[in-house]
Amino acid sequence: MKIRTCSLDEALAAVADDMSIGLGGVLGRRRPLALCAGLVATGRTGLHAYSFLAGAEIETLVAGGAVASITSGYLDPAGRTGAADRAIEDGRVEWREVSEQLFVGGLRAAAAGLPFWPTLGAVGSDVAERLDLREIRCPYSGRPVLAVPATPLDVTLLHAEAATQHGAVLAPVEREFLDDADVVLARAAKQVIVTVDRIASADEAAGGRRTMLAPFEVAAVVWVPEDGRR
Amino acid sequence: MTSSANARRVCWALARECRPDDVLVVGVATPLAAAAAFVARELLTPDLTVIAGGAVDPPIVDIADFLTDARAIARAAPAVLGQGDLLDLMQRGTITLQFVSPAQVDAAGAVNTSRVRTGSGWRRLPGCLAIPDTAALVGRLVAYRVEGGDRFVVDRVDHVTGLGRDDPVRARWSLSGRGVVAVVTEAGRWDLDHRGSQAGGWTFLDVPPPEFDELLDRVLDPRGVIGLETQSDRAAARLALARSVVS
Repeated sequence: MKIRTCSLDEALAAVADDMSIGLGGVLGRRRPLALCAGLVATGRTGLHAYSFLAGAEIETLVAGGAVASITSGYLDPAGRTGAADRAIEDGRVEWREVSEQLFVGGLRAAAAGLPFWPTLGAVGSDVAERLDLREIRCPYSGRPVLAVPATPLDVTLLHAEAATQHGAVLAPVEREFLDDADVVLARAAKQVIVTVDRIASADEAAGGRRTMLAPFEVAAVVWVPEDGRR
Repeated sequence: MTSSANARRVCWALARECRPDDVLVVGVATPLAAAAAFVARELLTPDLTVIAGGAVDPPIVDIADFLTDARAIARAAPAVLGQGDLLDLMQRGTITLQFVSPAQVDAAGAVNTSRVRTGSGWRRLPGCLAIPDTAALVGRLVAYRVEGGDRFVVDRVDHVTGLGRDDPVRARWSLSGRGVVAVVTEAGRWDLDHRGSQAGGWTFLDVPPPEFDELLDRVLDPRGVIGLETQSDRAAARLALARSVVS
C-alpha cells in the first residue's frame, strides 16, 4: 500500500498560485495552521480560500499576502489580527459571503461530480442575489429551487488528530462541532493534504468505524509538532 | 456574577416562545438563546426538542462550558448531528424554531447580519452564517437583542440577509418557514402578526419567576456569560468566561 507521509514542503508542492483551496476546522479546533504558514513562507499568491467559518487560518494567509478571495459565511472576530478585515476593506481581497446551505450545497455538488446543487436555502435574500444564483424548476413538479453552482476545489487542507501512514484519516474520538464539514471540503477537492498530531497504527483504522477519509482520498499526511495544531 | 435584569427578562421571554412539539436549534455563539432553550425545557415545555451545537436533547449544562468547548455538551447527549444533517433537516422543515440575534430587523421581518450603512459607505459585519437559510426554512424565528437601542429595530434593513414575511415569495417557493414572527428586546415583545392591533403589537415582558432565577444562577449560568449578549455586561462576562477556561 502506498505510503503517504511526507514533509510539509513536499506536501505543499501540490499547491500552486491562484488555486482554490478548502480549509478545514472551525473556531479554535482543527485549523491547518502549519500548512497555511507554509504557503505564506513559500510565497504563494492569488489563492481562493473556502472556509465554513473563517478564522485564524485565513488571517495567516491574508497577512502573508497569499489570498485573492475568501468564500465563507463568517469571519470569526475572536482572536483576529484584523488583517482580513483591512484587506477586504481595501479591496485587496474579495469577500464572497455565502450561507451555510449555499456553501455546503456547492461542495456537495462538486463532491458528487454534479454541475449544481438544488436548494431552498437563502431564497429571497440579498446574499443569493449578490451571488447571482439562478432559479430553476423541478422537471417533475415544476417547483422552483435555487441552483448552487458546484465549487470544485483544487486542494483541501485539513488538520486531524491522527492518520495512518497510508492516509486513513481518523475522526475525532469525541464528536466535534462541524467535524463533518471537513469531510465534504475534502471530497470536493482534487487533492487533500492533512496535518496530524500523530501517525496512527493500521490497527486503529481497522474496521473503519473511526475513519473519516479513506487512504485513496488523501494525497499527503504530514506530522506536525504541537505548535502547528489546531 | 449574575446577569443583568434586562438579559434575564429577554431570556425568559424567549423561553416562553417554545411549544412542546418544537424542534429548536441553538448555536455556540449565542449563550442567551442557549440558556433560554434549557430554561424552556426545564420549566415550561419538557417535551421540547433542543439541538445545541449539534447535540440532540443534551442534559442541562453550564452555558460557559458549552461556549468554550461544544464537546462538553455532546459528550452526554443521546445523539449528535453533523452540520450536513442539520442543514438537511432544516431544508425539510423539521426545525421549527430558532432564536436569532441580527444587527437589524424591520417591520417586514427581514433581518440583517451582513453589513450596515455608515456615513461613508458600508461596514461589514462578521457574516451571515445560516441566517439566509433559517429565514426561509425554519418554522418560526424570534429575533432578539438586549440593549440594542434604536439601531436594532429599523424601518427597513440596510441589507436583506434573511427574507422577511413576504408571503407571496414564500408561497411561490413553497418555503417551510414563516420568517420572523416576533421581536424581543428589553423594551418588550413585538408580535409581527398583530402589528395593526392596539399598541402596534408590542407587549411588555413579564418579570421572570423565582424558579427561573434559581435555575439560571445555580445551574445554567452561575458565571453570568449570557451577559456576552448585553452591552453593559459584556466586559464582565468575557472575564468570567476567560476565568472558566483557565480553571
